[in-house]
Amino acid sequence: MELEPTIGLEVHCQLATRSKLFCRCPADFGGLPNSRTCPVCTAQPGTLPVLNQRALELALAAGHALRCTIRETIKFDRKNYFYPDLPKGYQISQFDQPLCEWGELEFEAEKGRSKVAKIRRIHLEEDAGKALHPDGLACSLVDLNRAGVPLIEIVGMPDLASPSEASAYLQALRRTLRFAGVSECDMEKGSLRCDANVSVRPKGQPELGTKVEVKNINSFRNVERALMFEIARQSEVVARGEKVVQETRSFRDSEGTTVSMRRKEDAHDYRYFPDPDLPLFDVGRARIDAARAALPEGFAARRRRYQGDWGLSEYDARVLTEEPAIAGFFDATVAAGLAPKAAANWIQGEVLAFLGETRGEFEQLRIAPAALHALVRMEEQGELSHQAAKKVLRRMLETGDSAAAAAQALDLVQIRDSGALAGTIDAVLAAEAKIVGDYKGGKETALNALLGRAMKATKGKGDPNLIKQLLLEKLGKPGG
Amino acid sequence: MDVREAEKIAGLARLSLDAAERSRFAGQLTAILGYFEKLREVPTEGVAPASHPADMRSPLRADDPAPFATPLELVARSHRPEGELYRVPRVLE
Amino acid sequence: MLPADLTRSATALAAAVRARRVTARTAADHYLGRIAAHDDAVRAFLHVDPAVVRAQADALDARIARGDTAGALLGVPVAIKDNLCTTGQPTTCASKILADYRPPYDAHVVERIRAEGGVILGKTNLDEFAMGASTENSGVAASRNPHDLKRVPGGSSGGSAAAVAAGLAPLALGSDTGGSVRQPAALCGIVGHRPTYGALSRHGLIAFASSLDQVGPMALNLEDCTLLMAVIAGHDSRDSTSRPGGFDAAAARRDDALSGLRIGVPAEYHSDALDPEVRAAVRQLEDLAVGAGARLVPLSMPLTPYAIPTYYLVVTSEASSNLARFDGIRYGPRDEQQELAASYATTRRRFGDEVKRRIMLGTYALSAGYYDAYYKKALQVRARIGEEFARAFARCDVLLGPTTPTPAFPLGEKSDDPVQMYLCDVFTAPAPLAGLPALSMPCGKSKAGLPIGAQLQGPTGADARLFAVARALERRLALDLSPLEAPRGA
Repeated sequence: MELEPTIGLEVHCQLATRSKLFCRCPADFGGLPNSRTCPVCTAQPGTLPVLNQRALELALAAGHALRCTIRETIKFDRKNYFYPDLPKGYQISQFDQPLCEWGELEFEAEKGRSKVAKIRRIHLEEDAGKALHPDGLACSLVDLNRAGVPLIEIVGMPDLASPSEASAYLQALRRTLRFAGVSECDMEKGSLRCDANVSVRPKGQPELGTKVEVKNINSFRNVERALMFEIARQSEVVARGEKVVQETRSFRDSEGTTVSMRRKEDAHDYRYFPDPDLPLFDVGRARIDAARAALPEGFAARRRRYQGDWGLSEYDARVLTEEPAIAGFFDATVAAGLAPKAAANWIQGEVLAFLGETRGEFEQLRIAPAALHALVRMEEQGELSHQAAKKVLRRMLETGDSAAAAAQALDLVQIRDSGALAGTIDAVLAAEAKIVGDYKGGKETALNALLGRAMKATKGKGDPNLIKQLLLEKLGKPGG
Repeated sequence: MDVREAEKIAGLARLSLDAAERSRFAGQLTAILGYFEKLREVPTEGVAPASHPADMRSPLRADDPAPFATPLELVARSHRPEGELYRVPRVLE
Repeated sequence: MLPADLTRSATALAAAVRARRVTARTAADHYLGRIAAHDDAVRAFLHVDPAVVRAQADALDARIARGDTAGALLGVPVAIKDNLCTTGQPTTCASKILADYRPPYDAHVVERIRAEGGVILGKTNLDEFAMGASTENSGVAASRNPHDLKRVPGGSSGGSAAAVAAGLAPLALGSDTGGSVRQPAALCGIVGHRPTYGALSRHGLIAFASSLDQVGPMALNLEDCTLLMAVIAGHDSRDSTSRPGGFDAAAARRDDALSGLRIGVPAEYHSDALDPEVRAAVRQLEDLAVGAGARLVPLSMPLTPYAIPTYYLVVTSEASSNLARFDGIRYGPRDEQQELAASYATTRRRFGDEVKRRIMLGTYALSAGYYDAYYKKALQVRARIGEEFARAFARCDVLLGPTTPTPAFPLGEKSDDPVQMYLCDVFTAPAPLAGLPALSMPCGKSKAGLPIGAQLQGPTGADARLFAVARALERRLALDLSPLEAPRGA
């Protein structure tokens, strides 16, 4: 009997706000333990939640980017359970009436085949803190810096048919949310977390098999590893004639396996009820529409535009839409007047190469889009050779200098003044009598040698075309 | 509510009751729940549940961070903190 | 010691301090002296730190000496129920689970009192976590009714009510969830107001039932209650349930509130269970009102008896969640334990029986399989109770009735039967479910000398009107509203 897997991903993503969801603590990553806490997020008695407007706006942006239906009035519910990283003994979340429902994400399931996966719901909730269990210590330790950080939970339908499809879905989801400005989606920093629901069923059977939840998948690489292991494990269980147990399992990175997380059966009665500290919120048609209008262009739409309007290749379009910062820089450079193809070449070739070498981030680029345009204009106007332009750009990226300043500093501005060059050419002709003789004797290629000498004499700054022209004027035709 | 249910509810609420308390509470709670049955007399089909007065709406707050001046003082209030971290008995994972 | 005219009126006391007839220190010492003399008998207070009180008073006197006499409560000591956060003093909710807890911030209403020159006198006793109607559920000790020390002062703000009635504090803050300001006010013979939900900020009020809790001012008379209410009312952006718009103190002081007033009298408020002396006192008040130009409107509010089971399902559900944070991990006492489950268990053993009972009830009502039958049903009946009030207020301006079915009962009489205790709330539970304002005022005494209170209820936002109506009735009743010289019935 052939089995096929079905996978649905539940993704938690930290919203790019400055403060936490229900209090004014900074929401930044890192910081000394418990330095970003206050009476509200440490659940001191008598404290109350007040909702962060930007968190709501970013959640709306996510809903629009994923084409969801959005609720005009929302409530928050309490999810009640005890754990040391949950200060109030409940998490403020949304239970049965999430902010967004029934959206979709189009992604490239494999090369050349696109697929649309359904999004069941997106809701707002606060993050818990962190409980640490250091080896050798008889106690556990709690850091509440993350307690109260704003999250959205994005629940996908079990539409994914393989581990590689799941990975592709997650990549597309990450890119969509980054382009929408919703979240950094960085798994290393914990601003993107992924749990998977996995089941197997006989091929062709419409009903889904028993679902197992897999948690603790903490990198993109581990998404496929965890899913491959779990699918194989479930398949083996079924092949032995046994039933897959519905449970929650944790992925063990070092072994590449999933292990059962022991839970008491009543631990799942969260006793959800509407949070009495938070009456209903009027999201409102106006705010929903404003969020849609403000949504930045998605990566798929940009790719289509770059190829369609500007004739870039599919490859170019992909590279330029890898990250929103690159696409934004590209768009701005074109807006400053640079031709799309030239901009694409320079960004892909020199700028990204530089970032790769220096392990830099695009967001920290020291040049403005207009500066790149200015550099290319200098080359087009003959002030810089192509090689010189590359060197100048490098300096601009290192120091933030303008094109003109960098070219001056490197002394690479081409000499294009015939008068200025005349002296140099005369000197070269005088010094290289043999090559002059070769040329006059009919060897055309001797001209290049003279050109080379003249370029060297000008320290590479001479305009090669002009020098060639002046040499020809002085020497006449070869053999003449 | 029987004693077994009382034990289950107490567990959910992290209340530990001894045997005497379990049976005493089970009895009292049964009486109170019996009194609550009175609500069945009130017809409520189609009535939307009210958590608050009908016209109440929550405000939104600007995303403007304001760090609490003395966050580590909050840790100092706890039982035997470990430096800047709250100490709790070992969580069995 | 302060003269009598200054101990029966906080308003007069503030004016005297402002006019420099009396120092803030004198006022503070007077009340500290009263506490020292009588609180062993009354047990109104849980914490009084004389050094802290005197320091506040001295600081006020220093600025008064510099010519700065700003502050509506200048030099007036205020007793604060011990479920309101105060810096510099413990806040324990009368519970062993919060023994020695010192909050890192002041409640909004406490900030307001300090800003207006009030002196925080001390923290008063309550039923543990405000759960009760007699203050017998306090995890420390029971308070006593100053009018008869063998009887309860009511609850849960019993300490605050007893303090004011016994002249141990001129003003007090309590909190009201199902009657916890009004019922002790009635049993102790003072004024207590439950504001429209959202009129006062809950920031710093340790939560019992979030959708019903409100801080309430308590005082000897309407003018003093108006003074305190005006100071503490108002919007607070730290509380999402806080309403904009303030308290109209000028409207609260209007003189002609009774003329043309339509006073609703629900039939259900005069059941056979009502003590005949209570019935008679309230009837007398109705007659006074009619004599002053008001009109009685008989009506029926058949959902009245369903308010109590509704109330208890809602509050226990919310409380079961609100009290989950008391796990000993971030604050409060904790026994050393090897393992987390044991730590939760030993910490939460510190709750008293009534608290445990209510947590269990609430956990049950919210649990899978029971949610629709209990919690959701209660919220639906709550919605209908709100509609019933709205229909009543289409036909009248205020409702008038008794605050409690009987005067103060003896200590220990009801403490073994939870349901009996719950029935004390029959008249006070409905208004909080609808978020409506309600005020209790003294309207007489029983033959045994026990105070009787009458309750006025109004539509949303009608706080000032309730004050004005009560004020007009108070004037006509002409009762002696002085605090007791000494507690009685020792």
